[in-house]
Amino acid sequence: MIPRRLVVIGLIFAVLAAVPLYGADYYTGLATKIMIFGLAALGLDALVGIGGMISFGHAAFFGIGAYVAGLFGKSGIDEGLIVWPTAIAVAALFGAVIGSLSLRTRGAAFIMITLAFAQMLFFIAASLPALGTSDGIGLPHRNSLAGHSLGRAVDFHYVVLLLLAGALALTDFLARTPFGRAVDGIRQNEPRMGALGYNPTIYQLACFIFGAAVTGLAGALVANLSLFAAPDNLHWMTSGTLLVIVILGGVGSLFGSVLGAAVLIVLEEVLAEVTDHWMMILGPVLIAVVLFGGNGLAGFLLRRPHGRTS
Amino acid sequence: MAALLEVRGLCKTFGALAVNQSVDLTVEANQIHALIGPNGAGKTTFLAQLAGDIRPDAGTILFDGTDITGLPAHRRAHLGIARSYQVARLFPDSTVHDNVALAVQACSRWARSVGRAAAGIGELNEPVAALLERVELAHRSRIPAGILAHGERRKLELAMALASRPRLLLLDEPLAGMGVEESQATVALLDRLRRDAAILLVEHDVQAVFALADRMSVLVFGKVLASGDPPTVRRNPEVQRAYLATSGEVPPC
Ligand SMILES: Nc1ncnc2c1ncn2[C@@H]1O[C@H](COP(=O)(O)OP(=O)(O)OP(=O)(O)O)[C@@H](O)[C@H]1O
Ligand SMILES: [Mg+2]
Repeated sequence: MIPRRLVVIGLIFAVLAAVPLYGADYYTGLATKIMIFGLAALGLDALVGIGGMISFGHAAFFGIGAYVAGLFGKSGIDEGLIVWPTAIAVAALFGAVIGSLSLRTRGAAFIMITLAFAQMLFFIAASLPALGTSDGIGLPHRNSLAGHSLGRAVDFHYVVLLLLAGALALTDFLARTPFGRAVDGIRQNEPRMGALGYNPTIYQLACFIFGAAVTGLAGALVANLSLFAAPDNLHWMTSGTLLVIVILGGVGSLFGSVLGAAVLIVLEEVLAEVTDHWMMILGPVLIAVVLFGGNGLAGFLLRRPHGRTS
Repeated sequence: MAALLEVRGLCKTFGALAVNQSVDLTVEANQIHALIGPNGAGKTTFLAQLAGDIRPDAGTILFDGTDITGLPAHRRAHLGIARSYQVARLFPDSTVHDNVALAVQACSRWARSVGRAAAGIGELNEPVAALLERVELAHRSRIPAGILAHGERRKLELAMALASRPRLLLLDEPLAGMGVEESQATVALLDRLRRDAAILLVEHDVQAVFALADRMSVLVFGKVLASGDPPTVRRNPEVQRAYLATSGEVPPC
């Protein structure tokens, strides 16, 4: 029998793949946005859910990816095969620096220091003329892929879908390798793993860099979606949004990030029509999920009759 | 020949409580050194400092001639020090097999463990099975560690400690919670282990201690009262008095 988890993931991707077939461009764009934020949150879930590192500054890497795309766009380079790997590499590099400094601390101090780094980058982006100050950087048009234009919303949608599927499969795979299991063990009991001979910091740093890289790719994609890299991409509110998506979707579930992004973005879209204070409605929803949902939407979907998740 | 482990003047206080007061202790290679003492004497704290989980306030720890006092726990593990915990520290949701696998794979370089990912965790199966066989837990390998009985947890702890092929085993009450048969089997196992490793054994089971120990030290209120070969230590009047005064136990004669 196919594991329930795979069935759920299959269904999610089937729905995402079907949107352009049945929906107008508006809905395709919405679904693309869901996938991009799902990808960004996937990177954060690798940190939080597997590595046990609660970062409140993960938007730093989202923004870095977006600005890489923006700077390339400004200089006339629009080949995705150049832009996206560069965004991944630059985000990973920043991840290595920020991660190695932040991992000198744990717990609440770690949350604060990651927040501080992200806010520092925010203020740099918002004040540097080369980065467009608070206006950000506009992209003249979307990146192409191996010379093929992604100007049509549908084409871009499917490319994002493939990238998301690839990132999810890779993260899932890594989590099951000896390396992933070690990171998971360190989350559960760090001193114990130290006594077994693991250097906790090295493993956590590798996990941090991986999460930064995944979210960096999402940043390059979001800049392509909105044709814009803005300081907002780096703002702590965006970090908070990513955390909310992870919690809504189910911490450590990985694929739940896509579900969390879907709920958040659809809610935002629907409620923003009705009221400016849609966050006031989201708040109680989030509390309900945390209190009653077990482990977010993923936990709900994978729940067994006797309450254990697989 | 230099001793495998040489501890000099180890001191540790928690607030006003001096838990270890200038403790000296030597463990020779391939010997079992028993560390006994009443509850709260500071035995677990002492082991934690040797393993690197707690920093001593003063003193030096020499392992195989090198000063390891400032090394983090994982570096000491690489040098060949392994420990088991008084309160078993397992990964309760993982299976018995996976707990040991985690310990086995700790001995391989992390970069290699990523590289070998494609070959998969299956590669660990053989050493894991061998370790579980050794502690007589093979039949429980598919069970979550969290539902093991008390004595079985101890055995699993032991298997995990043995995974790195350590030269020095720090065992904190490995027999606690075991039934008579389990206990005898474990004593026999520890006896055989002497060929491969030295053991610093903290244990309340007096019979086991005297069956196994090549040397023993008595820790009372953070101080070493006596140290030497077991019959001599047993006859030491100070040891007898300390035992009568603190725990009411009559020392084994
Ligand atoms: N982290 C800590 N903070 C404060 N006090 C501690 C700490 N750890 C241990 N102690 C105290 O230090 C003393 C020695 O504890 P330790 O666990 O080393 O004793 P022990 O000899 O292992 O005892 P037992 O035979 O009961 O296991 C006890 O009084 C204990 O309460
Ligand atoms: Mg103790």
